[in-house]
Amino acid sequence: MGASKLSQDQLVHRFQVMLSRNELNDAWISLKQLLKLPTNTAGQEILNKFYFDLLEQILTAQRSQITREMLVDIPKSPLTDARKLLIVRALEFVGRGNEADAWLQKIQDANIVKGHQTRLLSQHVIDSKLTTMPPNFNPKLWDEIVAIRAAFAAYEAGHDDEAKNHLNQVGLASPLMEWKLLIRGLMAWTAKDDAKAMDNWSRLNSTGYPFSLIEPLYLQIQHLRQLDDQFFTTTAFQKFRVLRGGIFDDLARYAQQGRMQRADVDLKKAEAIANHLKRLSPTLYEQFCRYIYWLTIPIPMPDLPATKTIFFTPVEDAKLLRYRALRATKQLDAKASTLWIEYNKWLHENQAIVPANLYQQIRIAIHQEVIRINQEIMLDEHISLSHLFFATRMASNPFEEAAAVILHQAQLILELDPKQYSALLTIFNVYEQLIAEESVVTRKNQYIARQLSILEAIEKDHFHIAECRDFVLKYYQKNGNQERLIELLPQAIQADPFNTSLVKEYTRYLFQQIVRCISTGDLPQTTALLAAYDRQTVQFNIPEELQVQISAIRAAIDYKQSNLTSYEQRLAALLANKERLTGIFFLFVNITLLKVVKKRRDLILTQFTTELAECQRASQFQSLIPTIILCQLTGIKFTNSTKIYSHVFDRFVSTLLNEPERQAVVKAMLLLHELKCYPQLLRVSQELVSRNRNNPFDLLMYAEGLQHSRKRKKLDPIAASQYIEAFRLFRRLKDYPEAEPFKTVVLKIAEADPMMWDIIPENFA
Amino acid sequence: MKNPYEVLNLPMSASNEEIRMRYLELVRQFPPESAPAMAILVRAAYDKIKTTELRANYFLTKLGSETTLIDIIAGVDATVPRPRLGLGALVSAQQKVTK
Repeated sequence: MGASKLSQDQLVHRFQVMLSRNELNDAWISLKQLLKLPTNTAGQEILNKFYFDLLEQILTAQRSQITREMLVDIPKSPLTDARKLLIVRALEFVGRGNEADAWLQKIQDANIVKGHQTRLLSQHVIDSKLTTMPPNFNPKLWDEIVAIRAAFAAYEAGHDDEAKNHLNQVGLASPLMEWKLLIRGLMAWTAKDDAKAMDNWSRLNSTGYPFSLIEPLYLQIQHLRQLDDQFFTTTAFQKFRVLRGGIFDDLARYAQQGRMQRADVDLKKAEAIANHLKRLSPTLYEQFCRYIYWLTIPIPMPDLPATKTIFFTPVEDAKLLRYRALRATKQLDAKASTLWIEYNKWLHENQAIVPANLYQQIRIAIHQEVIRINQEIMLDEHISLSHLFFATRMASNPFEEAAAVILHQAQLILELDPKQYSALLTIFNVYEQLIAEESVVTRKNQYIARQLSILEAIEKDHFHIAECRDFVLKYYQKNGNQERLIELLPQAIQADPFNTSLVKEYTRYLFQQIVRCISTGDLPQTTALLAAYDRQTVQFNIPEELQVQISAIRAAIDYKQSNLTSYEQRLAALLANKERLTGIFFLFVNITLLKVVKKRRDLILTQFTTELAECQRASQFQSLIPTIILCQLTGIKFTNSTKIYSHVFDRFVSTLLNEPERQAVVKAMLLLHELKCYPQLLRVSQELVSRNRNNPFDLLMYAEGLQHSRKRKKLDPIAASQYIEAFRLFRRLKDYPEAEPFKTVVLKIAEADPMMWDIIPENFA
Repeated sequence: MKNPYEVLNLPMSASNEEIRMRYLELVRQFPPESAPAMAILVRAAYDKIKTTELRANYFLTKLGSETTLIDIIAGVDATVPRPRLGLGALVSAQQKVTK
C-alpha cells in the first residue's frame, strides 16, 4: 500500500504499527515520507526519536540495505552520545570504518566509547567471517583476536596446552583479557576443577558479553545448590539446557514443570529419565526415583495406577505402604490410619531396615500418627468420639468390630509406651459408646467393669496430667459422685493451686456435704467438713451468701454445744450483714435440724418473719431464694417447712410485682428461671404480661412458665404461641435494652430442649 | 538439599548423645559469625533429628523427601564428563535463548 497519500498523523500511526510489527521496510518508507514533510522543532525531535528507534532495530536485524539508505538521512540536529554511537555502529556495519571513527571521536562519554570498543572486539572474536584485519584496526589487537580464536579452537580440539600458548599472547592490560579468563575458566570447568574455573570467571564483568556466554556454567557450579526453584525459569538456566542438552535437558524440563500436570504422561517421561540415570549411576537413579516418589504423593489419583506407575520403591517402603499412607494422610483420607497400621505390621516383619535404636520409637510414632489422623478427621467433621467414628467409617463394619480394632490399637500403644494416657482415654470412650449401644445386661456390666478399671488406671497413674484430671473430675461430676469429688478435688487443687474454678467447685461440694451432714444431725462429720472447708478457702474469695450460710451453721452448732458467747457473737454478725435475711433463715433451718429447744427456734423464726415482712425490694431475696431451693433439693423438712417456703416465695413474688426498678425485676426472673421455680415465674410473668404485652422478655418468661409449670412432654400450644409472639416482638425491636438476658435465656432453652429448635427462628443468634 | 544425617555426617543409627556431640563439633567448626550459611544448615539439621521422637517422625514422614532436581542435576554433572564447549556452541546457545 502506497504511503504518499496519507496525512502526517496517518503516517506516524503507520510507522509506529510497522515498527512494532518489526516490518522494517514499511516502517522506513513511512519515516522517509515523514522526514520530507515540513515540521517544527518539537515535531523534529519526535522524528529523530523515530529515526534512531528504527535504526537500532535495523542494526539488530542486520539489514544492510536499509542501513545504507538511512545513513543518507542522518538527522542534522545535535545528537546525544547514545545516538552518535548508533551512527557509529551503522557505519561500521556497512563497512565505512573511517567515517565511523570520525563519529566515534565526536562522543564525549568515555564509558560509551570504551563499551563500544569492547563490543566491537567481541564482535570480531566471535564472527568467523571476519578473517582479515579491518583497515582502521590496531594490528596488535588484531593479533590478540586471532590468538583468542586459535585458543578456542585448540581447547575445543582437546589441546589445552596449545590453547594456553595462544592465550599467552594476550597481556594483562589487554582489552581482550576477559576472553582469556573465559577460556582459562572453560578449560578448568571441563577438567572439573570448579575452584579454578570460578577463580577465572569471577573476575569477568557480570554485565559483559563474555560473562553472558558462560553464566549458566558459572551459576551451575557456584550457586545451583543454593538457588530455589525460581532459577529454573531464568535465561541462564535456559542456556544451561541448550549447552548441556541430553539428560540435563530432560531433567531441566522436569525441574521447570515443578509438579506433575498429567500424571500418566509425566510418569512415562520420568521412567525414561530414570532408565537413563540407571545406566549412569545407581545412586542417581535411586535419588531420582525418590524425587518422583515424593512428587507423586500429593497427586490425587486412584491407588492402583499410582502404585503401578511408581517404578521404584525405597527400601524403607518396599510395599509402598508408607507412600500410600502418606498420601492418604495428606488428603485426610480415612484410609490413612489403616495404611499406617499395615505399614507398621510390615515394618515389624522387616525390622532390619530400621536402625535398632529407632525401631520402637518409630512404631510409637505410627500409633501416634494414627491417633492424630483420627483426631483431625474428627475436627474436620465435628464428631466428638473421633476414634469410634473413624473406626466405624474405616471398615463399615458393625460398631462392635470397629471398636475392637481401636481397642486393639490402643492396647498396642500402651504396650509400647505405658505413658500414652491418650490411649487410655480412647479405650474409656470406646467403652462409653459400647455401654450406650449394648442391650444385653451381662455384656453391658462387663463393659462397665472394664471402663471403671480404665478410669482407675487413669486416676492412679495419670492424675498429675491436667487433661486426665479434668477427664476424671468430669466423669464424677456427670455421675454425681460427690464423695469421690471431695476426695479428689483437694489433690487437683494441690496440682493446680491457681485454678479458682476448682476451688470454687470444691467449696460448693463441701458446702452441700456439710448441709447434708447437718441435716442428719451428724455433728462430728459436720465439724470435720467445716475444718476442711476452712483449710481450702483460706486464700479464696468466698461469695458473701456462702459466708453467711456457713456462719449460720456454725452459730447453730455453737448453740447446740452450749457455746452461747460464741453463738451471740455470730448472731450479731449475721444481723449486721447485708444478707441477714438469708443468715437468719439459715440459722433457723440449722437450729431446727439440730433439734434445739423450741423456744429458741420460735424466737428466730419470729425474727425472720419480721425481717421478711419488712423486705420491699426484689434484690433482698437474691440469695434467700437459692438457699430455700438448696434446702428443698437436700430434702430438709421440719414442722411447717412447706408453709414457710411457700410464704417466702409469696412474699418474693409480691415484692417483685411492686419492684420499681426494671433491672431488678429482670434479674429476679432470671433467678427464678435458673432455679426452675416455674410456678413462681409463671405468676410473676403472667402479671407483668397482663400489664404490658409488648415486652419480649416478659412474654418469653411467661411462655417458659406455661410450658414447664404444667410439666408437659410436648410443646404446650398456648406456650408455643407466647414463644412465637416473643420472638416476633424481639425481631421488631431495635436497641431492645433486654436483648442480652433474652438471648441468654433462648440459648439455654435451645441447649436444654431440642424440641424447641422448631420454635426458635433460624439464625437467631 | 542434603538430608540432616548427611549434613551432620552421621549414620541413621546415631544416638542422641552422638548427634549432640557432632552438632557441637560442627558449631565450633562453623561459628555463625564466620560461616552463617553453614551454621544455619547445621542447626536446621540438628533440630530435625535431635531427639528419638523427631528421628522416628523423620523416618516416617520425611526420609528421602529432601532430594531435589538440582541435587540430581549436580549429581549427573559430577558423574558424566563435561563437554568442550567451543565458541560456536556458547554463542549459539546465547542466540537461541535470546531469540
